[in-house]
Amino acid sequence: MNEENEKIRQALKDLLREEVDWDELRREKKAFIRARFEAKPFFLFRPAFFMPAVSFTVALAAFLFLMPEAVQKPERSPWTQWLSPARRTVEYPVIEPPVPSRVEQAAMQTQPALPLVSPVSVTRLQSDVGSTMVYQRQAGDVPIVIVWVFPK
Amino acid sequence: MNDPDRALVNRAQRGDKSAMGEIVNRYYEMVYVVCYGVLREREAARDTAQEVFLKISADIGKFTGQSKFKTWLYRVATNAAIDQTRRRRPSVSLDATDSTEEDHAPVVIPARDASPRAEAEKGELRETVKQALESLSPEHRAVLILREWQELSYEEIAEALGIELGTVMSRIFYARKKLGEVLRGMGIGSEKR
Repeated sequence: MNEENEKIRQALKDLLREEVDWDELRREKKAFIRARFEAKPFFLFRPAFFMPAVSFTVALAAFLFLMPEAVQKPERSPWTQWLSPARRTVEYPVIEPPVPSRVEQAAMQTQPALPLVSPVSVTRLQSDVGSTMVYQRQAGDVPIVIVWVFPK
Repeated sequence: MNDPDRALVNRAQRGDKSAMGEIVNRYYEMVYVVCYGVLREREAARDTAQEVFLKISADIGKFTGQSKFKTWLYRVATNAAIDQTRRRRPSVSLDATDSTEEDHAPVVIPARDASPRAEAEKGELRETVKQALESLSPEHRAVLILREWQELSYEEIAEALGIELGTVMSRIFYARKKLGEVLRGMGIGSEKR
């Protein structure tokens, strides 16, 4: 009887093992879990929303990163290559006055005092060379002539 | 009661969908085999197994933990599969199958002219066992699958199906008897009882 029961048990196991397509069953299981029991991400993190958002963020970050370069180094920036030289130079001029060294400061202090000029009020300033502004990195690099036109 | 699924079930009861997914991942094959053992059709077994998990998901709050979760799952799966067979064909009285002489009649075995040893080849054996299984009622198939495939004890089967221990023993005895007749008819198994 035990032998017979064992054969029945074995025959049943073989039958189920053979009849059930286990690979197919696993595929069905995964699909079922995905369809019914997988927690769906918050809608902002779903691909339809998330990918455009990421693209926009990357583009914005790149723009913000490159923008200061475009302002301070117009001749090197790809953003302003198409602009005319005049236009490129007039945008956002940065003028840094040279810092006098200690020796120069001492010399300035020892110079005789200049004649006192009564204060004037500058209401308008004009350049006869157009709107071009020049950035002078070091004092004495390039002599700059500035004509001040004072209103009468 | 030491239930290895308790923590997972608690999470599912709190509405954690991924916990329910983990339960499905853990027990899908088991539920499918029980359904297939009873229904004997792949598509029906798949649909019923998935219905079982949807029902479990909906009713997980009703699980009180008085039995092991796996036992509860067996019960839901077996009942769903048996209900499915009843929907598909006219019902057969289980009491009648347990007691009438007709049901104790030998299973009709296809005539074979080869030697018993040749007939015992695996493919033929499976085919014959398959025919014998189909001659059993869904209830008998269910207990046989739980006992022989899932290797549950009589007590566990009784608890899972919500039936008396004696009924479990009776059904298993009857199912084995029928299958034994098949095997003996093929010249396999012991002649003596």
